[in-house]
Amino acid sequence: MPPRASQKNALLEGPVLGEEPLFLDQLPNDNLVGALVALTAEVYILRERLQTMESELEQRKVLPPHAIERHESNAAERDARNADLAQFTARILAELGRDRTPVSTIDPRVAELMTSYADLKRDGHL
Amino acid sequence: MNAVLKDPPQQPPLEVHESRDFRSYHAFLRAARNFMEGPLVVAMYGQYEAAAAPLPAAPDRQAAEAIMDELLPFQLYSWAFRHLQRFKYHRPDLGIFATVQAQREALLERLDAAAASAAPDELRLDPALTPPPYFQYVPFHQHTGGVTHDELDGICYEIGRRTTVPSHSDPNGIYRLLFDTLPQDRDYARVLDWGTGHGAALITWKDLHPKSECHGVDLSAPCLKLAHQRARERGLQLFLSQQDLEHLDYPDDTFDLIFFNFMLHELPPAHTPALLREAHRVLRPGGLFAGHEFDLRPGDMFQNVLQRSHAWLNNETYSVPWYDTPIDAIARDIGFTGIHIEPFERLNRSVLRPGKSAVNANYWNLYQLEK
Repeated sequence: MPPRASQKNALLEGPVLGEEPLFLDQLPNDNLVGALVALTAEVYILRERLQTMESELEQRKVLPPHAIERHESNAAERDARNADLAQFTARILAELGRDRTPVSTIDPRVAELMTSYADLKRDGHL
Repeated sequence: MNAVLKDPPQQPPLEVHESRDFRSYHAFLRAARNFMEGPLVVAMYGQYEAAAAPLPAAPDRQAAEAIMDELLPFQLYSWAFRHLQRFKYHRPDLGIFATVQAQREALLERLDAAAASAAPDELRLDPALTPPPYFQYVPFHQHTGGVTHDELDGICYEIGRRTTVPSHSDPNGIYRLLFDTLPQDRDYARVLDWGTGHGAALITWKDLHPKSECHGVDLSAPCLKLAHQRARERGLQLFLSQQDLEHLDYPDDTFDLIFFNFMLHELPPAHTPALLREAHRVLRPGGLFAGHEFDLRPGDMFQNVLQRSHAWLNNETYSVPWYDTPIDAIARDIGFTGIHIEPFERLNRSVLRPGKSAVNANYWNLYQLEK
């Protein structure tokens, strides 16, 4: 049976039979912040385009002034938005608190099948 | 041997409705995978080269593993290789499982209707078949529960395949590359797709060789039902059966060609000889057992470490013992002649680095064993 999967380093040493390993124990916070800043930039780009779209729609009189700002959801839309918000929030924040149970389970009896061909031949199993 | 229909009935296409958000989400996951297999591998190799350069000798595998394990790009690669699969399948709204399950009733109705219209020899399912333990123990590619536990597993697997080989804009291009390598001067009157899954390779073959009688065997009934549906959509006739490749119900000397795609690494060495022996039995004299498979590039420890890591990261569990399995010796013992195993250069992808040598991330061999 291969040695247990390391929980410290990225290099696994066998199938994941227990908890999910930690791959990024050494990921520098600087890099995390870098990714966050990059993502924030993208969000701003989207935000700016949305602002532009609102402005264009208002200027071309497709929408009345401040239509987006003044938009009032009806009850059904409010419920749908609230549900969407809850799911959106859960999706992101759940990653932070995700436990380390793998989504797919390998049967530990797989160890019996990991013997190399050479060892099987040597021991007379083939 | 089988009733061949001149004009098999055609089924309307079975399509999973994919929302705009689904398409965007999975496009992002494909892009993330491309980043992982491209720029991240380039960065990883640069750091590996720099770390290995001062050593008195080229690193052996253990030394290479020790170097790689300390590299941040390798740690990121490992995280991404494992967890992008989870993102692909399991996002509660846009994951493959959720999207397909939301359309369960409609999809099953279509699959069942197509299956019901199959002639008995076109789709032979065996509910009593117990998959061998090696198949049951490992949910390959982290497909939760494996591809036999839910009737929609074939569809989920088919969608999942799109992001497994994202660099091929034509998902079936990989099969055509294999078929191009086969001797072109033979009459492949009857062929078997060894582990046909959802039938993509077999359908590609049938498109190219309409006169071939095409058989496909797999353990997964959900995959076979989808294969039948897809064949019917194109007005093609396949002969699909749910069987264990180690115990086929075909007579001796049945097939001119048995082909496979990335099957050998999914098989533990304890079963490989018996599986190949059975393939040999059902091949006609002069018939060909041919396919392509992952392997370790000789002398390229960087590639070897990366390739081996996939075994644990993505539940390709038997691939590690596979890399040490002497297929040529096994094939000779069984009685195959004309054993040809060579690098599949047309498929081997290198990661290009402007002004520098390409990096070999993946490596495949091409197999042709003649009976």
